[in-house]
Amino acid sequence: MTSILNTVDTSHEDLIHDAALDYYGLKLATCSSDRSVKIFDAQKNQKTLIEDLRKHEGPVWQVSWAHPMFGNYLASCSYDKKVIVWKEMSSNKWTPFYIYQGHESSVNTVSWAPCEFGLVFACGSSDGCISIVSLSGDGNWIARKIDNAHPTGCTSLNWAPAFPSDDQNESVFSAKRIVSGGCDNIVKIWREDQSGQWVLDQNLQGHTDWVRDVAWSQNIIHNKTNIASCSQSGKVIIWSCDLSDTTNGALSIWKSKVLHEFNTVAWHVSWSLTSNMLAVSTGDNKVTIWKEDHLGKYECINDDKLGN
Amino acid sequence: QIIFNNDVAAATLRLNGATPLPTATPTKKAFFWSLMKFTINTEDKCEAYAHENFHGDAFAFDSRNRFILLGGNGRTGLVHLDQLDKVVCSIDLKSPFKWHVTNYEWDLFNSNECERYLQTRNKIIEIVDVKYLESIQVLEGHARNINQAKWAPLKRNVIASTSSDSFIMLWDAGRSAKPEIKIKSIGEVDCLSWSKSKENVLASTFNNDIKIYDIRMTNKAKKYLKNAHCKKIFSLDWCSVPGEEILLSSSKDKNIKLWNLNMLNERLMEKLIEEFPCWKAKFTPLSLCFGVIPTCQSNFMNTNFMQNNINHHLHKEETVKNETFLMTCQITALNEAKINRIVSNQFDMIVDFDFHVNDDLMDVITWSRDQNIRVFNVNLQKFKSESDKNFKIKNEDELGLHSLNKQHLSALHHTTNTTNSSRKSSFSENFNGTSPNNFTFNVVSQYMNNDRDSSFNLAETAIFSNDFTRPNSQNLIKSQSSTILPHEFLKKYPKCFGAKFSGLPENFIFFTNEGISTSTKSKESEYGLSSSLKRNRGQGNNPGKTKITSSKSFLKRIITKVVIFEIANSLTIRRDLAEKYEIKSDNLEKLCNQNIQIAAQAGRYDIIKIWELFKFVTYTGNLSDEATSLEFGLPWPCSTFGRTLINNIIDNYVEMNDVQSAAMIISKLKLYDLNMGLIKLNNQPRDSVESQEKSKKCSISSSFDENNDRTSSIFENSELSDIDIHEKLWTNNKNIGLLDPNRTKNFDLLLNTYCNLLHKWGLFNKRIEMMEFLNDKPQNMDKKFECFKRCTKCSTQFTGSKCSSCNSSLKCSLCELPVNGLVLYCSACGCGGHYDHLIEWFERHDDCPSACGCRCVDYI
Repeated sequence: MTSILNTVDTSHEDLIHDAALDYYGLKLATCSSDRSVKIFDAQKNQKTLIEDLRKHEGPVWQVSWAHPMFGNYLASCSYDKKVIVWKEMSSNKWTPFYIYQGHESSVNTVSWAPCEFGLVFACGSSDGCISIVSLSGDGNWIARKIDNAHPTGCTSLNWAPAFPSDDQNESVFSAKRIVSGGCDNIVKIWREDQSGQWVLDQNLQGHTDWVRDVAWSQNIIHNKTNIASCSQSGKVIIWSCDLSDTTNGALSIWKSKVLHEFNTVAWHVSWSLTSNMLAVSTGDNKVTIWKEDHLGKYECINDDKLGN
Repeated sequence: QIIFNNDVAAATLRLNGATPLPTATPTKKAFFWSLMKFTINTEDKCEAYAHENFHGDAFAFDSRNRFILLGGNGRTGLVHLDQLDKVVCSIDLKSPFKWHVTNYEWDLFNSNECERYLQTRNKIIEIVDVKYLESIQVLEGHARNINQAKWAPLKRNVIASTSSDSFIMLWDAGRSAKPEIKIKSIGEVDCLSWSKSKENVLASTFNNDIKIYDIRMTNKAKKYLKNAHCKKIFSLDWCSVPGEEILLSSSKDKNIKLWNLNMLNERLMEKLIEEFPCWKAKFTPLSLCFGVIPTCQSNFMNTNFMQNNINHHLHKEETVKNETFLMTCQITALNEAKINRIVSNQFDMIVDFDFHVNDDLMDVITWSRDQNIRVFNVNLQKFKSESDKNFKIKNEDELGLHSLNKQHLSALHHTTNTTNSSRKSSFSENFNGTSPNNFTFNVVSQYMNNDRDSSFNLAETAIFSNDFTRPNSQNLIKSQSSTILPHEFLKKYPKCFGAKFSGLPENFIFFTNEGISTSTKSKESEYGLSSSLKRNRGQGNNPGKTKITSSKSFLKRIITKVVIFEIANSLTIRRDLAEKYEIKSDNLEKLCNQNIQIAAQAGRYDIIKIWELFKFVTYTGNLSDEATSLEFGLPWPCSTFGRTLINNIIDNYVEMNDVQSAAMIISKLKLYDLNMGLIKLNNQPRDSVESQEKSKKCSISSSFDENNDRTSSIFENSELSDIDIHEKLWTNNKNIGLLDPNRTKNFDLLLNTYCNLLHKWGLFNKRIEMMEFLNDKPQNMDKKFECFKRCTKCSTQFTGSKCSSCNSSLKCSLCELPVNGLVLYCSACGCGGHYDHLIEWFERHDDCPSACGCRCVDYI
């Protein structure tokens, strides 16, 4: 079902932890325990190293590309408690543009908000806090912090898509939301209220072990929205919320469905851009892709495991 | 010398001149076993070294540095193997003195680092550093006395302990004095044993049951052997052969059992002894034979040393013969074990024992109740000849039951070797890497498959896919993490393998770490991960400088790979279609035909049908306005082929996640509506158009009604007067387009989503074309930004081509003539001029034509 477009040997000297393609699918950013962030030209049949960025002082856990309408920005988070926002100052020249040091422990995850919200990123740390950092019009970065979001550590977070505003529920629907997972086994949804404070919107309980990853599907054309979460125990849950239900204006009714329980840790979940496919990476080095059919049932579509 | 088979025969075993074993009874079992030959010479004189001052039961032997720990009254004695008569030093216990040490264990994880061991007393575990001769850490957490505590052999700093308080606790000795993980069991947990090949696996017992846990998933046992023995289990030990998961258990029920947990279904491999309850059974470092101490007579009970675990399990067991002995068992056939008693009860009761392997000699060191250390020599003979080395099991058909012919054997070797080679090589490699001494471990490993049933094949596959047969990234992670605390590791270590959808909709990326597994000698590991974690353990904030020396580095090199897949085929949206689709045209029919062709080329037959259908729906042909709209007495959009159908089709595509088709349909229909003059794009004043439409339509419909007697069935059935009909049409008039105006918002959303997709694909022109169909256009769409120019003469800002105050105009940096129209200028330095001139200039130059020093090419 798939064809390999490109294989990049990143030549990292230590374990690679994340890789991400930019908005246009042209550039590849990778990060590794060797403290470096590398940017590759990943267009078809190319694999040139553009930049090897070494500014972090610890293993780099995750990278995230911002929407190009703001310019080319890349955020990386690391064990050294920092988030570095890199900017492409001139063609293929990347420099640290901003360093966020608001955490007391390893920053495990970083994610840019949908472009409708401006240049905003959120990051979650082992110190249990989540920070939402935005670039204001005057060029200053403003950080808002959710203290003790997951007291024992936040492992992952993801932004909700920018839902189209509804005439009646304008503020509720178009509010910025974040979903986060942590070592307290809970998936939490946070919402920015009118005053700009982030408040807990929902507690989604169902996991029995650390939540390893959460992903909010970015699709907005359907009448429902989905969150996938996976945990240390191997359980993958899909939480869905019906948007057409008008009594559910505040995205308050979430139904959970266990997609599958793997025998090993589920590391990573990822929605396809069309949001009908979910990729789950598990501890046994296997990737399973689940496709939703028109009845809302998920089926594993790759039995030949990509992992090997 | 042993070799055996279950249903084949051909096993000889010579043990001290014993006769060859009779053929084992054929069974249905078929599995892997490993063998070697050795002789045990009991005639060797055994030396005894008395240590009267130490009368505890606790004993531990460090196989690398050859130190022995002995428990005593309020202190610990340290004895070296070379000088067994002397106590090198004694370490005083810290208070409270009233508790004796019940367990010792050396930390054998890192052979290069300072020596340390753990001791358990009542509810606490103490870690003692031999360098400082005192306990450096006290681990507290158990509510009742601790039964056993063991270092994880493959994980640094990790200790597991079992206690009568029904918990198994996992400790991180480098970090905190509190347990990291608590595993709740039903009752008192007795024995504990870490797997020697899987770093996260440990086995524990409570009463008759064995539970095997993966410490990453402690909420439930990985395997649960209920009623493994019919009485209390006294000891557990894992086989140390890499890749094998064989567990040895001894119990009060007089059985010693071997469990093969490697198979898909764990099962009993064999029962070995059915003579006496066995207090302790242990694999030798070679894992081929094991020693056992049977429990025995009552004087053992009378001593008041062991406060907890021994006494009350042993009371008044069926009167065992009044003797104690150490014996080694060799597994000879699947249902038999050859027991060799090497120590009989000429001495006092043996409390504990351990093995020391040195080249082809093995010492069995025992500690007995009479406070003597005794050492017995066991002579291990290496295989000498090649044929011996490749000694193989014979097939019954080929060899017959009893004959054993070396020539045949070596011949068979070639046949069996093919299936076996990969396994064997990695096996010995692994073993050499972990063996403390350079002992050549000549193992013949062989699967015996005589049933050739499918279930076995399944089992075989399961074993062959076991990790060590090929180095994959999991292996890598395992060997990496063996230097790291498990909990720390999990907490700080997000992902090292994963796949995600990223970038374009059809991109799927996959990143992985692959390692080449080698067993090299000590080498410096510079992996940031390990050093950073070391840093985290409180060695100050010195990032990047710490280097860790690891004795066993399995890693030569990591290959960090990212693979980008294209999954376009499993998507409903297609880039090639997006590139080719025509969005705007005056001739709808032609447009539809074009798109049909495009879809046909791409193999999207469903879309061909849809376009065919819309050709029909939007057919304008020879029909006049009147005929199309009122053929059935109703405006065309209100018919079955009108809005109902269109809405259904769009909904269907939305359901299928095909934004592309949905958006294309919407744009096409909008185009139809536009062409028919039914709606207007909203950038034109709308009210006037609508009112015109209304009046026009109204006149058409009314005139139609007047001229024609036939009315639609709907109107016939309803009791509406002509006036009502007119009114209804009037009210419906503004909705007369094919697209349902109630869904404008929804359609806009779909169009917008598709526009975003086109943007991602870099199809900007198509996107702009598509955006024209949006009802609510983004306010800034028409003008993204406005350029202001500052006049160099009078500093006024102006927008056109000429300064509004002094009338001077923009001048080209190259020809110095005024520029009207398209300007190309550098956003960095502001110099520029005629588009053509500058393009020509920059073909040959990098710098600014006005010589301002700017390298404009970097910004273009």
